[in-house]
Parts: sequence; C-alpha cells; structure tokens
Amino acid sequence: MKEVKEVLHETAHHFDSAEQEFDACKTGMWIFLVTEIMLFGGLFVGYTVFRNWNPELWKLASEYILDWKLGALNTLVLIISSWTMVMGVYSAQTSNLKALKRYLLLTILLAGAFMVVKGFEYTAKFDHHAFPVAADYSESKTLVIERGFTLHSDQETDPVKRAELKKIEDIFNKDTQGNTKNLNVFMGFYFTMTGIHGFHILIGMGLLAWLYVRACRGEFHKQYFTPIEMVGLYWHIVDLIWIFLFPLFYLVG
Amino acid sequence: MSDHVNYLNAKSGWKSWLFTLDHKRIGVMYLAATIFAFFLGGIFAMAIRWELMDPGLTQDGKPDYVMEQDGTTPILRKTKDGKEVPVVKGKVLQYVNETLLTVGDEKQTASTLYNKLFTLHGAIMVFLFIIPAIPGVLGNFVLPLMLGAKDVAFPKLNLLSFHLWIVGAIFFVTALVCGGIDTGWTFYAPYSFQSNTAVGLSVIGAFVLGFSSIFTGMNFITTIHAMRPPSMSWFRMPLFLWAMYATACIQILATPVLGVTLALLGFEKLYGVGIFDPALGGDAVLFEHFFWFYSHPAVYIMILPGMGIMSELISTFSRKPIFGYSFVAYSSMAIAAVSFIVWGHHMFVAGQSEYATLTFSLLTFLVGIPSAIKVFNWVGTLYKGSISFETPMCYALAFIGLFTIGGLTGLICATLSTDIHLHDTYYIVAHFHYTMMGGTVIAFLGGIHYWWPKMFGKMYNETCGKVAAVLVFIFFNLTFIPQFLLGHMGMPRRYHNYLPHFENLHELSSLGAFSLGMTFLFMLCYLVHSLKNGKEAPDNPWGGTTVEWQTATPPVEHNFVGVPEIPEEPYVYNVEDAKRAH
Amino acid sequence: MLELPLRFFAENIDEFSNNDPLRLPVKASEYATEVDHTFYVEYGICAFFGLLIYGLTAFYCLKYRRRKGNELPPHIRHNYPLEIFWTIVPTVICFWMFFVGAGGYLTVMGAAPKDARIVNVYGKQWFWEFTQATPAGATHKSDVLYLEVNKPVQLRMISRDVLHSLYMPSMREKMDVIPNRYTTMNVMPIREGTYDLYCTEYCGDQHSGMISKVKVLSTPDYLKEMENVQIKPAQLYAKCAACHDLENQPKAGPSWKGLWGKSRAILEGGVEKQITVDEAYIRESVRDPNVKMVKETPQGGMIAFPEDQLTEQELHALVLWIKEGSYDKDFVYDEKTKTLVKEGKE
Repeated sequence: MKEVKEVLHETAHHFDSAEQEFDACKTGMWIFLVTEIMLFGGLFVGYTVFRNWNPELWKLASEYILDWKLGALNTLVLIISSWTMVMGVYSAQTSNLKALKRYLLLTILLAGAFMVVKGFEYTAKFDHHAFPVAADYSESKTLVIERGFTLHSDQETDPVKRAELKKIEDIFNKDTQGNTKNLNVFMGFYFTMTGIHGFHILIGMGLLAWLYVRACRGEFHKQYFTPIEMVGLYWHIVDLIWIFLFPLFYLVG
Repeated sequence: MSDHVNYLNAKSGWKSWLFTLDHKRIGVMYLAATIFAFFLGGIFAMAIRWELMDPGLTQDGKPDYVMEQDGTTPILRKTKDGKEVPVVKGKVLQYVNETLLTVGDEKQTASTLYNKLFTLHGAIMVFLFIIPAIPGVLGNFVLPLMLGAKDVAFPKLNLLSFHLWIVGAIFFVTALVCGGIDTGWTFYAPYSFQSNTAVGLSVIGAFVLGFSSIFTGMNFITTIHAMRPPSMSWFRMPLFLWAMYATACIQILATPVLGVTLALLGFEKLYGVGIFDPALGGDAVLFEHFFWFYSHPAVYIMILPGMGIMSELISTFSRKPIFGYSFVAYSSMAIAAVSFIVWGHHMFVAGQSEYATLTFSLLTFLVGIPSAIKVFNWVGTLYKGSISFETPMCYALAFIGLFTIGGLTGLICATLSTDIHLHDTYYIVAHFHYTMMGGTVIAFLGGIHYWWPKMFGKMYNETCGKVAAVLVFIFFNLTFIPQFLLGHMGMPRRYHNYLPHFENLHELSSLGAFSLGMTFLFMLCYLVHSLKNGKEAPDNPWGGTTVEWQTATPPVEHNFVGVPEIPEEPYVYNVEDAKRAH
Repeated sequence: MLELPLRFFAENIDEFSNNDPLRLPVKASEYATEVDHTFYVEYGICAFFGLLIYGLTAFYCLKYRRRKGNELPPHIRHNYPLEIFWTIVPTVICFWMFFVGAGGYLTVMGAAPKDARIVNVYGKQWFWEFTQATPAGATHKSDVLYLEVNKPVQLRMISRDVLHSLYMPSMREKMDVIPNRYTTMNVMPIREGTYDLYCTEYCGDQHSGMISKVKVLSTPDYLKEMENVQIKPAQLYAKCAACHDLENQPKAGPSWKGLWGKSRAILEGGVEKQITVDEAYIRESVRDPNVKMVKETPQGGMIAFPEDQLTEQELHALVLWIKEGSYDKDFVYDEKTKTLVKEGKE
C-alpha cells in the first residue's frame, strides 16, 4: 500500500499556540456535551412524569411491545463501538494510521448495525400499528382514537397462539367501555427518545466518515489528533445515553 | 471611512460579508439583522396600541356600536361581500380584516387579527431581537477585543450562529406570510396545538434560533476560558466579560430544554402523543413547566449582557472603577445560577401545588437581590466620580431609572398575595417591558452609542444622541406607567376589546407608544447618517480603559497591530487617558 | 378619537368609587382588605428604595459632574461593610415580603372553611357557567356568578377545553381553570354590588369576550335569585354569543339574524348539499358540528356541546328562540308545555 505522508497540522491563525487550540476544542466539546445532556434531560423528566402517572401501562408496553433481546443486542453493539472508538483515539495518539483507519471503520460498521436493528424494531412497530396517531377530532361526542394495536392475531392459524395474541392486543385496544390504555404516550416517548438518539447516531456516523477521509489523507498523528478525541467524546455520550434508555424502556416489566 | 485598512474596507463584495469568519463583521451583520427584527416587532406593537385606543365594549360588556340618533339602533355599513354589519366605535381592525387579510379561504375576524398581532410582536421581539441582540452584536464585536484576542474560539461556529439566525428569521417571516400565529408567544397547550395557524413554522423557527443561541454561548465560554491573556485572571476581567460569561452559561444550559419543549409540542400536534393534550391523558400545565424552565433563564440571557454594558458605561463615564467589583462579578454568576430555580413564578395561579408555589416565591425574591446589589454598586461608582454626560451615559442613567422600577415592581409580582391580583394583567406587561425594554434595550442602545465610534470609525451627532436618549426615557414612562395602573384596575392581558373605564389610561399609553416609535425612527436616522457624514472618530473618544480602545478605529482585520497591553487591574484611569479622550 | 385624557379616574362606576390612588377597585372580599394592605406597605418600601436610588443618582450626578479639578477621581474599589450591609438588608426585607405574601395566598388557595357553599364553574371557549345548588334543592345555572354577601364560597372550577383563568379584580382573586383537573378558590364577599369577572388566560379567538359579572347580593335578594331556575334562552345564548352574533357582526360562526328557514350550502362527507335550517339541523350542529360543514368555513371549528354542557331542554329552548326570531330577552322556556312563553305570563 502506498505510504501516506503525515500532514503537519497548522494551528488556526486566531489561536496563540497549538495548546490553546487544543484547550479550546476540548472546552467547546465538553460544553456541547452539556447541552446534549440538558436536551435529553428534558425528555427524561417528561418520561419520569408520565411513567409515574401510568405505571401499569409502562410495564405492559415494555413487556409486550418492546423486545428486550434486540435492545440488549443494541446495547452490546454500542458498548463495543465505544471500545473501538477508544482504540481509534489511541491509534492516533501513537501515529498508527493503519489501526486508526481500521478502528474508525469498525465503529462506523457497529453504528450501522445499531441502526439496522433499530430499523427492524421500528418497522415491526409500524406493522403492529404501535405508534402515536393524531387524535381524530372530527368525530364529536367523544374523542375516538384509532390505534388498533394489532399483532395480526386474525392471521394466526393456531388457535392457542391466536388466543394469546388476541389477549395482548386487547390490553392495548379499547375495552368494551371505550377505555384505552393510552398507548400513545408510551410509544410517543419511545419514538421521540430513541428517534432523537438514533438521529445522533447517524450524525456520529457522518462525523466518523469525515474523520476517516481525513485520516486517509494523513492528517492525524501523535502531534495532532484533536478531532478524533472530540468525536470520541461525542460518541461516548451518545453511548451513555443509550445505556440509560435501554433499561428505562426495555427492562420495565 | 478611515484612511487605514480596517475590517470594514479590507475586503468587499457580499460574499466577503456573508461568509466572513471575522467576529467584527459578524457583529455588524447581527446589528443590521436585529434592528430589522426590532422594527418589525415594533410595527406590530404600534398596531396593537392603535387598536387598543378604543374600548370596543360598553360598560355591560356589549359591543360598543356607533348608534343612530335614537341611541338604540346601530348604524350599519355594507361589507365587501354585501352583508350589512354594525360599526364598532373606533376599532380599526374590523375594516382591515375585510380588505387586506383574508388568507385563502379563511376569514379573519378582528379578534383573530389582534391575537396574531400580539403573538407576533412577542415572538419576534423575544426570539429574533432581545435574546440574540447584545450577545450577537456587542458580544461578538467587543468580547475578543476586550481579551486582546484575534477572534473568538470558533469563528466558523460563530458564522453558523448567524446563518442559523437568518434561517430562523426566514421561518418566522414565512409563518407571518402564511397568516401568522395566534397562540401567544408562550404557545400554551392545548390551544397551541389546536390552533390552525402557522404554529409549526414558528416552532421550527424558534428551534433553529435556539441553536443559534447555544452556539454563541459555546463560543463565548470557550473564548473566555481558553483565550484570555495570561495576565488577565478571572478577577481582572472587565465586568462586561463576566456578564457575557454568565449569559453564555445560561444559554447552553437552558436553551436545549426549549428545543425539547418545542419538539414535543410539534410531535403532540403531528402525532397526538398525549403529553400535553388532556383529552389523551396529558397535562397542559406540564407544558407550562417545560416552557418556563427555559423562558425564565431566558430573561436573564436578556438582562445580564445589558448589566455588563452598564458596568462599562458607568465606569468609563465616571472615570472610576466599578465600586465593589467582586460583588458585581459574583452577582452575575448568582443570577445565572438562581435563574434556573424560579420558573414557577410564572405559574402561581396555574394549579401547581402550594408547596411549589411557596418555594418559587421565596427563590424569586432571592434572585432579585443580586440585581439590587448591582444597582447599588453602580450608584456607588458615581460617588466621588468625575461624571460626564455623553450619550452612552445618558442611557446608563436611564437604565438605572427604568430598571429600578422594573425590579421593584418585580418584588410586587413575587409576593404571592399581590400577584394573585396582578398575574396576567397589564401590570405584568408593564413589569416585563420595564425590565426587558427599559433594561435590556436601553443598555443595548447605550452600548451601541458607546462602541459605535470603534465599530464604524464615525461619531454620530452628540446633540441628537442626547435628545433621543431623553425622549426615549420620557416616552417610555408615558407608555408604560399607565399600564401599571391598568393592571391594578384589573385590565387583563391579550384583550383587544375592553370595558370603557380602562380607556383613558390606554389612550395615554398609546400616545406614549407612538411617540416612542417616532423617537426610534429618529435614532435610526442620525445613526445611519453618521456612517457617511459623521466626524472621524479617534481611537478612544471616551477614555475607556478596556483593551478594545487600544486598537485602531475601526479595528484592523486581525484586531491588533502587535501585542496589546493588558492592564494589570481593570478600570484604572490616569491622566493620559483623560487627555486622550479629548 | 384622540381626546387628551385629562381625567384618569373611572367615574360613575361603583367598582372604582373608592378613588383609590393606586386605582385598585373597591374591596369586595375579605381577602381584598388584606391584599390592599400588603400593596400599600410594599409600595411604601419600594418607593423608599426607589426614591433613594433616584435621589442619590441625581445628587451624585450633580455634585460629581466633571469640572476642572475633579478630572481624576479617587479609585474607590471596595467598602466591604457597606456592601455586606446592602446585601443583608434587602434580603431581610425580601424574606419579610415573602411571608406576608404567602400568608395571604394560603387564605385564598387553602382549604375552604367548613360552611363554605360550593359553586361549580366551568369555562369553555368562550363563556363561563356557574352552577350552584339552591336552598330548594334545584340547580341554579347562570353565566353570572351570584354570591350571597358575608357567606364564604368555594369555587370548584374546570375547563372543557383549553386553559382559562377566572379573575375578579374587586375580590383580588384569580385562579387558572384547567382541563382535566379541578382547581379551587375560596371567596368571602363582604360588599354588595356588581363587579367585573374576566377570563385572564389567553384562550383563543374571543378571549376578550369572555367577560361576565359577579353579583354579590344581600340575603333576601340572593334567595330571590335562587328561585330563578327557569330556562331562559337569552341567558343560554351567552354560551353562543362569542361566535354567533344576532346582528350580522362578523364573528367566528354565522350570525343568527334571520337564521331560521334559511337555505344554505353545506358539505356532508365531502358532498355538497343544500339544506334548510330547521330544528334537526340546529340540534345536529350543536351535538355533532362536523357532520355538516357550512361551505364558507369548510374547516369547521364549531365546538360540540354534549348533553352535560347543554341539556336537551336547554337545546330545545334555544331552537325555539331561534325559530321565533326576535331574540327577545323576556322569553322563558316552559318545561311542561315545551314552548317559549314571555316572562311573567303563565
């Protein structure tokens, strides 16, 4: 393979020194992470309030609608990706370009795997009609919400299985008195929080790809690895947030 | 323009401005942008005050029609679609809605129009003007110069902040063109997601503007931490920098919560999640909690930079250091910290628990104390000073006068028993206009007049400046003191038709408002005039001791030629400075 | 239009007959007396500090203005005892203000006295309805709040739709009215009279129109009013007045002037039809407004009134009133004959 020459990093002109630049970048990144914590913090507060008001719904929904095994898989994937990220930073610090590229790619791959699993989860929810639906105000007298959570029990041939599925469906659909279990709230929080988190993973993948391109050009070495370290910090926060999301949604039952 | 090459004339062409990384150019662009927003919001304010000059109702709450001679039959007029409609005395909007503002199929009633006017006035002023103005204009321009630095820590992020402001403004203007919004700038649920006006567009606009604010905050904190000269320790910084630092702390901690709140509101409207919609198991009061958790710290984002400017002005024009420097510095940080735990004082009668209400009231009193300390310190600075009354100082003195009223009336609002009577009346409107306008806008104007020579190398006409400052003070009081009285009488907010016994005070207030508007136009005129025809400004026309006065006027592109001299202690005036000022 | 306002006092209105210098209305509740005292004391304190600051500022500006000889003033940076003093004193004063305010607040928001009469309030866009049990055991409903002087009352309030807030300036009392949860407010009226009552939480288009009155009556007058439990269409109209005018004044909904028997184009399920306004159409428009939408306002917007907000008898009374067409205030609905009769007649 062609030997890539290390590119010397020029400190930005408005900084007095390379140290000042590194200090500034680190401070800036930590501040940004604080804003991310406040953002998700708001959502966690909302989650706490509604879980307090609907404890039974939370347990039932977590048990029957979410698959904890997929969630656990995603958690494992992200934890490993954090490790590959750390190894990437270390590779840059030791000027090991080959290893750096390898670890960056691995992190991107693992992130991609996370999104793929997420994709499966989401499509399953859409298939089961388990997503918040705008209230139908056009019918008066009482508010009618067409959720129709379904596990496709009507397509099940085995009567025992069908009865089981129907039982679960009935938990979340209207009962005979027209009372609903307000699944909208749980699914609303689920999609909002995991969705915003997934959006952050996608952004992270973009940042990692950008790092990869720059790494191929030889821009990172032991004299300059700031961007790798900064994206590493970002990645760890995103991972940390998932580690909170996972038990709060998947392990409630 | 000056004869030397400076940041204004070094490069030309619109691209060199729109894609500049120079904090000074970004500051100037923010100036143009926020002035535009101020006048746009101001037009709505004028329309509101025009409509409020007439009550529209009789004493028993019936519409105040213009009657025939017999006094019982209303005079009818024909509308555009041929209907015969009675005429409400003095109300302009009943005519406007038929000729100008039928948006699509949707007929606008006079009340809908009015509701849109006050919503747009509030939203534009808050999101497009007051929150970005001082940090964006003066923070950007002055902060690096005061540190002796060449730029902020992240110039590209700074440009992004400005571009995000533009994007946010575009969303708001689009919302305006699509018929505006009528939810009140506070977007309270459930009405905000039931309203069929352009709420989505405005919410996105506010969301984007939030990021503009967050990135500015990030930039300023990092700049102050990492790019301070080694000899400028924390307690040797000018107080303007302490104020900007405290503001930036609030910006990064509070604004994300606004983002989340708006996002949840959007999802509620689109997907019926049921967080805020009571019909779906949600809670409307929860929205209020989320909203005010950001919006209360936001008002400190608005006032703290103004207080920072005040410290600079009072010191320079008394030629003395600020009395009690460390108390003022600590006060800034204390205000920032305590601002996060008082949001419930907007919700004393909203149905929250008594314990919460009592706690919030007590904490609200506590957050007023640091502001009071600052005012005492500024007055203490005047003691045994050498006071001159150039235009910036006129604004500083106006600030003391107006912000004191705002702050003291804030105590009346914080007191639970009196607040029950005054909440959601014109008293609150007057209180926040005294603090936001009598405080922040006055300080902003003072700062603009102070740093104008440095920014543009020109002096404006000093007489015009003084006259405008005095007129602003007089007309502002004329506009808003009647509103305190209206509040005592029980005049509710957001009413366009009101019972006739409020009429006299409303007329007085409107008179003041129109005069104030004209004064601002006058101010714009002489400032713009100075850009071409003003006298050349010296490097340090006021005898200031902070580092920005050491650069050329206007500054060169990279701010300093050589290394600036960082004063060992802030605010040391000497005879050379005194001579230089003349 | 622009009369120079030379007199700022609201004359000839009982509510402001006290000529209070702060323009506070007359004290109509026991609570108002307490609050006004707090107002005056706090304004006294604020005036003192305000004048102190203004005075010192003006004095220093005059005395220390720049002249020959004081061009370089002494650089006084600190006076710790003074600074600590002016930190502690305001803090103490603020604590005191807090306690005074808190005490008053708890009177209004706390538990009701044992003999408090309950008045149920519901707010809906854009009217109030006050319901209370009469001594005879019937239910008195009105859009005006009737209170007996010197008898404590607890208002139990809830909204049918968005946020509202009940505000009675003369009582100095206010409480938000929220959907899905009851809020309460204790009122002890001490002065007979008629006072204004407002909605003071922005609730949409006709927020300005959600004005009513609170009438504090002497005991005999109150008892007489409580006998007034007949259904009066003119009084029910208060629920519709915000959107439906009787004089063609443009409002959110169509005017009722000449409404009965009118032919109009409507959309039902997307299909355009011509209908005539009759009892069935009116009933459906009230109970189920979005089935047939008037062509000019295809997005609808009329809020439904289910039976707990407008009983069948009340609805019928309104229908007859619209049919009658004169919109006379003197009609009363006779429940036995199910017709409208003029008040005072049998």
